Amino acid sequence: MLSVTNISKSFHYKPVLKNIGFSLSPGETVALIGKNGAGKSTLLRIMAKISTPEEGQIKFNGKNILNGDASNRKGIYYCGHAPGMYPSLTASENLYYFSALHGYKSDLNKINSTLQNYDLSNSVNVPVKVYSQGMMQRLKLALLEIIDWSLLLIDEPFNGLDFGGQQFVIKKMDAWQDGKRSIIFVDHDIERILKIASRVIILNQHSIALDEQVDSPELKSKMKKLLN
Amino acid sequence: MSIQFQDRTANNLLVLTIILMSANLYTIFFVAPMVPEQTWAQKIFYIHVPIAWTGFLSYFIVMVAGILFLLKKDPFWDRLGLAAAEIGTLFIVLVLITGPIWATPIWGRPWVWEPRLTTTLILFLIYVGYFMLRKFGGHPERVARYAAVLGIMAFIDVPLIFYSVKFWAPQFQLHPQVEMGQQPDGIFYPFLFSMITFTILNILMLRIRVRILNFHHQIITNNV
Amino acid sequence: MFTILLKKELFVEFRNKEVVLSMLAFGVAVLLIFSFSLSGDPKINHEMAPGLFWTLVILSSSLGLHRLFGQEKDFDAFASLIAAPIDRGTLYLAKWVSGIMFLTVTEFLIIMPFFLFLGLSLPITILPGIGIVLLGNLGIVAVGVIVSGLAMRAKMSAVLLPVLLFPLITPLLIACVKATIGWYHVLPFSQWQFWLLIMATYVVIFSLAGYIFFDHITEE
Repeated sequence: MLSVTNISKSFHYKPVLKNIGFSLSPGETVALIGKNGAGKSTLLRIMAKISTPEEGQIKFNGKNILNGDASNRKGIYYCGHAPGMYPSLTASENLYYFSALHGYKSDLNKINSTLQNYDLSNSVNVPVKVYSQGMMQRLKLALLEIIDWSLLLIDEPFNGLDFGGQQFVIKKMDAWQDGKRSIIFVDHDIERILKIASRVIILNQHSIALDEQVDSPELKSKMKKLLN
Repeated sequence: MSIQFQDRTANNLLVLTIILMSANLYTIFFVAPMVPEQTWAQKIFYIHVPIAWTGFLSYFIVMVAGILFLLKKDPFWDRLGLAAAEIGTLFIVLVLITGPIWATPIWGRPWVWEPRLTTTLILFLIYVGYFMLRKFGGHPERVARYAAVLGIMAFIDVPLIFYSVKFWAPQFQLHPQVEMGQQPDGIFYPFLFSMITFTILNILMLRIRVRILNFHHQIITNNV
Repeated sequence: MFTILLKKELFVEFRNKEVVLSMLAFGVAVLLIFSFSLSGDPKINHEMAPGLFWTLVILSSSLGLHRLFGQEKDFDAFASLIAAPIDRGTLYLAKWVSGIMFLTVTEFLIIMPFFLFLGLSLPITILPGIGIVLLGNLGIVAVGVIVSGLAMRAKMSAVLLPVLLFPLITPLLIACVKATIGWYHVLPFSQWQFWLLIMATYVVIFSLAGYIFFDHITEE
């Protein structure tokens, strides 16, 4: 579904990623982990074509997404650290425009019912700039119910959420994974990762230091060793 | 990778340039004939026109390097573009200095909104922005792309600037419009010689500057 | 996709009025400076009106262009926007067309105080003037969106934008002023039709450049 080959990227001549390569099949939920500054967010942003790598190719469903036609990227959804929404628009307006920009005709009924499911119906008519971090996180995830994605790139989905919020996201990620989709998420809680992910990729010293299925033996101790 | 400090081509080119430039200056001062009404003032044209040519040539190289960088993503083209931009701006500043030196005795005042001079000035100002963008635009990997785009836009703006200034102030069509080919040999050949000399100087400077930028890049990326 | 992008641009601006209001407020402030720093003689003002008008437009447009990506920068909505499967050229076209609309609205609002404060006589014909101004707007925003994109992520973007914009826009400014003089001072059309050609060439070249190059200046 996704094949990443030879991706290199540097900032201010300092390498952030060096010759990154892996491929992904449908149904995989991959945890991308590494120390601060290991290049996790940058890798996600490169796959979302927000950041340009100096070298390398990425193919999604066999089609080149770095140089190819924009429609080759249809089905990829990126959810970053930042809210990534228009601050002055309301939740439903943001969902309306972003689903349309991803190429989906969305009806307002669906948007409203989704917002209700995500516990945002009380603040539908206020601009999202007044939202708390948790509300914003739920709003970003609500968009995933409206558009039809097949690859999710999500950067620290549990950041700033309370326990209930974290459980909510874990449940959602489990529900989204229907065997045909792929999810790459960045996280640092080893216990949680082992619960959600089917595969773990660790970035260390700008390259992939470990790439294994969760059921492989002694994974936990290897992860701990690499992250400390 | 180790740094190769010796560059024989550059050394040979340097010797050639020194010989050519000495001969060039000798020709300009002692061989080329005096133009009756202008006397010594006209001599600056043997320098003014070739440096204007090399300046515009450098900016043309910036554009070509920009296009190639955007297509190939090879950082070499970015360094070539930066080197050409620096050298071009150096020459363009010299044009803006030598122009008024000539204009003061001939036109009676140092600055006239004449199309070529004005185009040169505007291009210089665009390149002031270019270097500001290089400096303040963020991390160099991104700025390389931005600078390539700006370098291309700057050069495609040149004909538009030239024609708009030309028709904006038609009273200032004072630039010598004579074709160099119609000049007597005594003026034409020294002029041609000077053009060739400055072009070779430009190539030499470009080569040395690109090498320095390459070293610089190798040193900061610790590839040495 | 273009229509939905354009609709989004207009809707965001309708909600904030950030671009138009900043251009308008700044424009009126500049107009005030004009009124006091000039002689006040209506005859001289009449002579200078075309140049003053375009000076006003370019000064205030540099402010508006600076805010063109403002709403997208604050919450990093720009990342979400470019991550969507949209051709970057289309993105440019939507920014271009919406920018033209914002600039035209601002000019429409500022033209009455402009005539009033400077004591200008009304032009004999209106339509050619509107045509010239629209053509000028096409050119200003065509290059303005590119420059705004270049400056968006820079430190000192507020300084960088006019420093890049003004020299690049010189040929267009000359042509705009000359064509406006031709129309406002009722010169024969043959004397100023050339300037319309320069303006049209400028618009074509820089809108094409924007369409082609925008992909290279959107990503970080």
